[in-house]
Amino acid sequence: MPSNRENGQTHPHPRREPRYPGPITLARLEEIFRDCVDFVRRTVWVGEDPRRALTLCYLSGMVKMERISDYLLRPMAQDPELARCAGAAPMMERMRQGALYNLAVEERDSLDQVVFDLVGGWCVFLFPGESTVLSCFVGTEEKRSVSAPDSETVLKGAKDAFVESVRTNTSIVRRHLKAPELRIQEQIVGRQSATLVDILYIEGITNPHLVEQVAARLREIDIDGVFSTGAIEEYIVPAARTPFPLVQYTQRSDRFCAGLAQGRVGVLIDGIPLGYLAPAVLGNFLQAPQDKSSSWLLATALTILRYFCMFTTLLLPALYTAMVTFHQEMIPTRLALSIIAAKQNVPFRSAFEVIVLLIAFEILQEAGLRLPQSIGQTVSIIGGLVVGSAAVEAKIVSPAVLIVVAVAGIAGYTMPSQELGGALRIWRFVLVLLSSWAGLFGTVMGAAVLIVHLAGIESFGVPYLTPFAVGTGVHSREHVLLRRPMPRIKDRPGALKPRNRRKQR
Amino acid sequence: MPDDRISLRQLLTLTFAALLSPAIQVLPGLTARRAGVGGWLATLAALPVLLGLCWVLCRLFRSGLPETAVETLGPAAGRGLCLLYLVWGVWLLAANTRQVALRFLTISYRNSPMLLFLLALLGVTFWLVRKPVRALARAGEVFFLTLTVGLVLSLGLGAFQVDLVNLLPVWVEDLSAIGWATLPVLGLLGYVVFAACLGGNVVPEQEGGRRVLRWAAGLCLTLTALQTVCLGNFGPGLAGRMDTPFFMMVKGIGFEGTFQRIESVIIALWVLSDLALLSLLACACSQLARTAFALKERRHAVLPVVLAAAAGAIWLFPDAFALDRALEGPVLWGGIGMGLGIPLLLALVKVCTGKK
Amino acid sequence: MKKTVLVLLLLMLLLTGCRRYAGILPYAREIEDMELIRTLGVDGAEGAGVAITASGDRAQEETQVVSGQAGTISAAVLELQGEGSSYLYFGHVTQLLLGEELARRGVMPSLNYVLRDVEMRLETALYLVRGGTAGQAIEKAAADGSATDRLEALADDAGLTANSMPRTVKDVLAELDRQGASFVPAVLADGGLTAAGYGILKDGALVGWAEGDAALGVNLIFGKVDADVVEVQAPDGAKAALRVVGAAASVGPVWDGDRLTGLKVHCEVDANLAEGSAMPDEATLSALEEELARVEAERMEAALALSRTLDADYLGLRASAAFRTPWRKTALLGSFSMAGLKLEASARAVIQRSYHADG
Repeated sequence: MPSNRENGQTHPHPRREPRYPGPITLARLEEIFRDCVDFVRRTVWVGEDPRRALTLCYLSGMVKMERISDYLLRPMAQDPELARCAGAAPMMERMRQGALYNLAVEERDSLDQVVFDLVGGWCVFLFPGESTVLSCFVGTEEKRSVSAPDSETVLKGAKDAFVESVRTNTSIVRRHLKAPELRIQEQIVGRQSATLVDILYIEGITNPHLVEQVAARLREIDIDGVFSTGAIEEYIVPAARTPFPLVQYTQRSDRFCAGLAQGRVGVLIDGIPLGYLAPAVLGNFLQAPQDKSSSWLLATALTILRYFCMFTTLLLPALYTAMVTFHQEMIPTRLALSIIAAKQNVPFRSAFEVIVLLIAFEILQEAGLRLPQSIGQTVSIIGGLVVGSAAVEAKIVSPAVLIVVAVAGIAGYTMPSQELGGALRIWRFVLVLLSSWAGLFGTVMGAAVLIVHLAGIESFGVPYLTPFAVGTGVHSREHVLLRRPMPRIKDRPGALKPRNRRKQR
Repeated sequence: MPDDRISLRQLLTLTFAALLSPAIQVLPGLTARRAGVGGWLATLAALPVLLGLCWVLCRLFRSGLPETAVETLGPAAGRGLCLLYLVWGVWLLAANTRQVALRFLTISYRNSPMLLFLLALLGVTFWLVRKPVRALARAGEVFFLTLTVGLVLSLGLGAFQVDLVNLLPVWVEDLSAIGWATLPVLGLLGYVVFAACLGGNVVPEQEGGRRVLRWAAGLCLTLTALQTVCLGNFGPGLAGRMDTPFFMMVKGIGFEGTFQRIESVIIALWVLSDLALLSLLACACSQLARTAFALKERRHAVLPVVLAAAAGAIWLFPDAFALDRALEGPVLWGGIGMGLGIPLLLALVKVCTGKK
Repeated sequence: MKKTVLVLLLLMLLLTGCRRYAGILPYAREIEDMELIRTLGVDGAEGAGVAITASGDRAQEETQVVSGQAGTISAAVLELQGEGSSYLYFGHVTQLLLGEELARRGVMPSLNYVLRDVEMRLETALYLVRGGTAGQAIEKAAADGSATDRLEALADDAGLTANSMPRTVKDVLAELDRQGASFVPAVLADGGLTAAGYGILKDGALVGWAEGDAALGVNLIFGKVDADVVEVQAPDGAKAALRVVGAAASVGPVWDGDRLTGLKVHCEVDANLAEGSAMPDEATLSALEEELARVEAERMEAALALSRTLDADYLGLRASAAFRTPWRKTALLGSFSMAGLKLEASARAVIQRSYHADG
């Protein structure tokens, strides 16, 4: 991978600075890569002259054989000018300046850099008697091809999703956002993984303080390696304080670029096929990417439905428990009589029934995630039969509770964001507990605590409740409940404090 | 505090949400008792006073009540005034907490859960007020939204059952009674001065004054609608005898066969308004305490204020009857005096010293 | 922070178990441990006591009728609780029956109980039991069905019986406050709980009954006529049946200088020709209309006569008159007395259409 010093790349900071001290010698390299069967070294005669012998080192599997052969070994063997060089230094200079056909040829003087180059897919030429070496990039390009996103269904829109290679991802972004003002800063995160993390933003639109905040938080990360998304997610936001998601991720490149154009900052991580957008507030998590592709009336109706589902999944089990145990007058008389008849021989209390069924629901969900497709269907049948019919007929649970829990669970699945759905599931339990102790007073106190909790959270300085509780001096609201026709939304969201408010004529 | 800025709109929505809690206690019960069928006009009659009060508060307390008091009256007298408001505020906080906790008992036969409600409410208030003021403002906005939905629903459905004979006719001979009935409304408006204590946090705006006046008009109209629907449902005699006519009205609304008897939900929803009121009072008291005792941070004053209010709520009022008497007597007159009288006096003093 | 949350959760879990008598949490009750009471009956008992009868719905296993007796209603209700097999829940009570004897003593204690009680609500329908006690009425009705169903059917079909309209406790309380008198639908204490006109309350006690024509007149004055068939004689001797489908009444005061001497009630009646000649001509129509107007005016006169004899403004005439002439408010609303006033009724009928297919 060509490294470009102008883009602000920093080398990883080892515990010992430098990680590998000392001069660059073959013996040293062999010692560092001992017990590595893919470390290969060979001698190359330049111009077939045994007096001009170089040592070539590389890690097999990381390099592409054809590149070394075609772009490096062939000119070294066939170039007459090279063969006529008077010493190692002029030969190195000639090779660096174009005698080798490779695109990236660098001179390295620190052992650290050489070692990481080797791991990165570069090959290294050691010159006899020289303290510096030449390093050429010949890495393989093995990566997944760009295909449709598998976790987000795209009905109507671009199907080029992000892949594991960060450079390919930035190229996909550039294809959607051809503005030259798109800036891509890079950092290296993780001592053992040395993962490349890119920060993308559009200069002139994005608030520079926001960019600086994101970059600073990434710089502070000092971990072993980035092996899961949580390694970055939980560090750039104060995730320990809340189960609600504070950054939004997406596999779709068009959604990512739309976010960048709004004035948000994007983060791409090498090895993870997701793009992150910050800041992310509650309104973002309740908008589905399909909304901008359907008619605005339909989108509005669906958004309202989603908000209704959010309240249902959070409050329905708690409301049922409160109504059945404390406020029986709220239930319509006929329904109350049928509930009484249905619960006649059920041995458990209503609150306990609700909690047990909620737990059973979670178990079914968790089991469904682990199973392969073929067994999954069997489990769902067993779950439906056992929990559903048998339990009701054996009068272990009453049918009303089953319906309530099932409706609440299904409503939770309409959330466009899995993290938000997860946070709501946790709070659902809390609210059911509170309502079983104190009825509707408990439920409302729980809801109030939730509101106060959300009111205190900010995602990179933007209040989490942004569409409903905007801060100072912010007026325009885009797509809260009503998705206005796109020609009417003239400004970018004010909460992000973009440099350029107006986005269309 | 530079990073603790809230917008005027947030302060106004918080105050509106907070005022809904004492409003349903006072209206239309007290006004119906004093003015009969004309009671619903009492809020309209109070509109000019409210507009005047808001104009004075807006002009006067740009930087918040505590700072302005110290500026205008000098450090000693200013701190003394802050202390006076602090004591008044804590007493109001205690009385209102107890009132709210008692209200939830109206759906139960027993008395013991009252302590739980009281402590739960004060606990959440304490947690909310300890956060920066902008969190309180945002929570207030969400409370306002929820309460608006509940209020519109209840008043809308209740309007179908209004009997005009209960509201009219109102003629010239009722005017003096209406004037007398305006006093409870003015006592209610005495809570607005506590919103002025947070004036220092508000980002100044261009159209600020006009926005406040529009808000005042909206508040009066909402209170009038509330009174009209409640009085229209029950008539002045019956409304005067009830504890909380609004909740009794909500008991009767609904669509047969779809949803009815949802008064528990509306009563529970009003807990949000109570929280808004209690946190507004607690926040204002902590601001006053910070100025009166020259503390460094507002957060340090929150715990003593809440503890004092809890102690007052548990021990100052031996029973609900004493509390009712307190709310109809001292709270009313104190509200008028502290909420309207003293700001006017302060404005006069400022104008006089300004002219010199 | 984490420790406090854990401690709280643990405390909460423990409290769920020992909740019943440990007091600090609100009292919970499982719905299957409840029996829903739908109809409540209050009667006078010896001394100044009351006897309460309560019954559930037919949808429950059997309609259980329980009764209790004590000095006050709250005490009597508590006695009821002891009799039933599960907790008796009054949150769904939709009908309240008051015995005649108790009503003559005074209805205010019962109505105030409904106003103040935690579980009862003001939308409860109120009925007076004529010729018996509420307990007898409920028990007899429970023999074939349940009192609740009968009364609900009565309330639902109220429009079809032009001499009865459902009234709630709220209406009666508001009227007693406003005009010192009110009226309540009456039922007989037979098994079928048939409607029997109205009972007139004055100052909180039963003073008389409005039945037959007077009851029809009351409905007319309040405009609650949905379907009432009046048979009149056509000029050519045939009998015509007119279906009265609407009525709108207005009250006007009669003044002698500044003194109120009387009230005039005028009613606009809307009717359709149900049975009679197929193509009536102008003369027949106007004759029928006049006849109908006369009949309706007579009915209203009967209702007004009761108001005068009992000296009770149970129809709210003074308030309606004040509504239309607010400048005379003090004179009209100053007193509740009707004895010295001349009450007149007039009606005008309009036959809109006939029900013949060719009409």
